Order: sequence, then C-alpha cells, then structure tokens
Amino acid sequence: MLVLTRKAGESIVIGSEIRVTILELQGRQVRLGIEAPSEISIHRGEVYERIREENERAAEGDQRELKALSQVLKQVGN
Amino acid sequence: MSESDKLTLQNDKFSEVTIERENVLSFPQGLPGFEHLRDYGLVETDEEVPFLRLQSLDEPRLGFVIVNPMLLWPEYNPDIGQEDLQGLGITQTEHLAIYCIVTLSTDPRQVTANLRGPICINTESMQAKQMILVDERYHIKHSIMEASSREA
Repeated sequence: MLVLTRKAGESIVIGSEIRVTILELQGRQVRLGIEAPSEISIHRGEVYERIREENERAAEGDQRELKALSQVLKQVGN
Repeated sequence: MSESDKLTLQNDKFSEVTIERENVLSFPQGLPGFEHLRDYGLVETDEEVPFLRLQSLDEPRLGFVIVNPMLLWPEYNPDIGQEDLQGLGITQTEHLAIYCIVTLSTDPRQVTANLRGPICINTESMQAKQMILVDERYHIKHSIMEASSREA
C-alpha cells in the first residue's frame, strides 16, 4: 500500500482523471473531496463489499422461490 | 402502445417478461458486483405483488426481485446523503422512489431484503443508483416473513 502524508487543502491525483482532496480534519474524522469521471462509482468502503456479495446472492433467485414466498405471504395476510 | 415501445426478454429462471420502454431504468454506475450492466426494466405482475422485478436488458439471464420497503417496514426512513440524491438529480422528494433488493431462498423464512443498500430512482429521469447507507439502523438482511407477520 502506498502511504502518503497530506495536510488539509492538499490533494492526491490518481491517473489523469481522479483527484482526492483533504478538505477538513475534525477530531477523528476526515472530510474528503473526490473529483472523478461520473461513470466511476465511489462508495464508502466497509459496507460496499457486503452489498456486492448480497447482490450476487440476490441474482441467484428464481421464479419458484418467488411464488413460494408470495403464497406464504398471502396466507399470513389472510 | 405500439409493439416498438415494448421489449420482450427470456430469462431462464423466470417466465418471459415484457418491459415497456417507459419502465426502463438506467443505472449510470451499474450495481455493485454488476457495474457493467446499466439498463434494467421494472416489471410488475399481479401474481407477484408486492414484489417487482428488475430485469437486466443487457443480460437477459440476470434479474433481481425488489420490493417497496415501506409496505413491509412502514417506519423505514433511511438517511440518504444529500450529495447522493443530488448525484441522481433529485431535488424534490416526490421524484424519489425507493426499492430494496430481495434475496430469495427455497425456504420463505430465509428470504431477506437489503435495507442497507436501497435502490433510489429519480422517477422523472428514470436514473437510478443503489445507495450504500452509513445509517446503521439498517442491515443487509431483514427477514420478510418477520416483517409481514408483524404487519398482519
């Protein structure tokens, strides 16, 4: 991992299109400003991986499972 | 509506679906894990209420089941960042629609909805994004059966 020390107001540039600026330091929090092309998605890291894995699981569903669920829910509703 | 306004797709895990062009959503960044797929159709059928399908237009084999979380969790009120909404071009909440992805299972009791990664749609532009909440009240797996028996 590349480790760089930066101060508030300073930035780093990744490739030719991405710039990350340290906007503010406040206690244990850092505020970052990120400039990147709109097709690049930017997310907070911790939860991203878990959401990606859950999306992959969700994509495995099939019609039979959906039908079974709908039927059970109808019984619950009655 | 003419036939050219509709798309018919064959998905081997679900029955054939017909998607009307006005129900086509665009995810400019795709979904996490499926970043390369941008266009999806929103499919609603009577038999599957309250669930809808989010069917990829680029990859007919890929589809998700989604649900309006307010139907099962009426108190659902995710803290979605202003920047995230602005990125979708949403300035008024009446143009915001929220759905959650459902993870199916052969056992209905194991079926869950992802309340941590809601899909937000700008209903005017039909641009959409899966948000990744920092809001810790919500998790990736919320039981649908539990929610619906509580509601009943």
